[in-house]
Amino acid sequence: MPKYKLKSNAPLANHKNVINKIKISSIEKVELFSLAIPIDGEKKAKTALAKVIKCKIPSPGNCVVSVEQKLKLLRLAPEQALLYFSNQNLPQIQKTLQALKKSFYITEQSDAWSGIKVSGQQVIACLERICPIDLSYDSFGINCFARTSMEHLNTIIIRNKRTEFELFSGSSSAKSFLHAIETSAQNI
Amino acid sequence: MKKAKALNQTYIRQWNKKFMIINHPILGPRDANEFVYKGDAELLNRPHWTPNATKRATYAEQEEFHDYLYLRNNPAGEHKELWYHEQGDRSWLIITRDTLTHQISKVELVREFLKEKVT
Repeated sequence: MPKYKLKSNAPLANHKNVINKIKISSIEKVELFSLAIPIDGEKKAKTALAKVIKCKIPSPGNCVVSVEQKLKLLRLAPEQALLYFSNQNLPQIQKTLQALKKSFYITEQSDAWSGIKVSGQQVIACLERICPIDLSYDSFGINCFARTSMEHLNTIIIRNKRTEFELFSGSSSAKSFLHAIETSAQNI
Repeated sequence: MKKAKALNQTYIRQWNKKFMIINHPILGPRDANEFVYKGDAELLNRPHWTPNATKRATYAEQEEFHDYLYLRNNPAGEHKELWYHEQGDRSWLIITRDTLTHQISKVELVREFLKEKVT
């Protein structure tokens, strides 16, 4: 029998904090999958998504949301998208992925990313110090997303509400990323 | 006086570098920090030199490949460059930039450029 037992643990382990009325909390229980579109497979990919998720494939840089299936599809690049399930209904996720398998190359990404939710009236003042994207409501509205860098860390930023954002960065540097956000919130 | 002028020039260079915006053809204006400079866009024009066991390259072919690998024009002015959107959509871009002012006059996707080249 092995002497030690390994337990899985999320990188930010249910972190919650409020700084200057800005709520900062880790995002748990999400499933992320990378979808790569094969060369000349755009047409097939469109058909599969329309059938399975009942949505049109977004153009690069855009996102579609299915409230019914609790998922978001972020088109990261012309040949790549990120499928984001905001629940852990594994049978349903497996069913969706099985149906998309013939039209995309799919890789599981949940462990690679760590999510942080930032919300509050002063959220823009907090994020604009470290995010190079124009976050004004007119140019970055609800359900807009961007892949960018914050404090030199690769980040995906999604706007959920006017004053709520979800940020995803590499799980290996999650604590540094959290530190950068909290420092920025303290400096308002 | 000379020292002050040099310091001022350094400041301007740093300021330009810090706030350089690249207008990505798909994603719109993005901070240059998201991108990595990958060299002269002439690198896309690789000579058709494929040596194998039976056919050795001629002297002219070797010279052409040598020039492709090692020689750069390094102009003071308009320059076509390869940039990689590492912290974004991982696309390769050809950026026409003035090396004296950092002004960017054109941004195009390498994939589009190569498609046009092939057709």
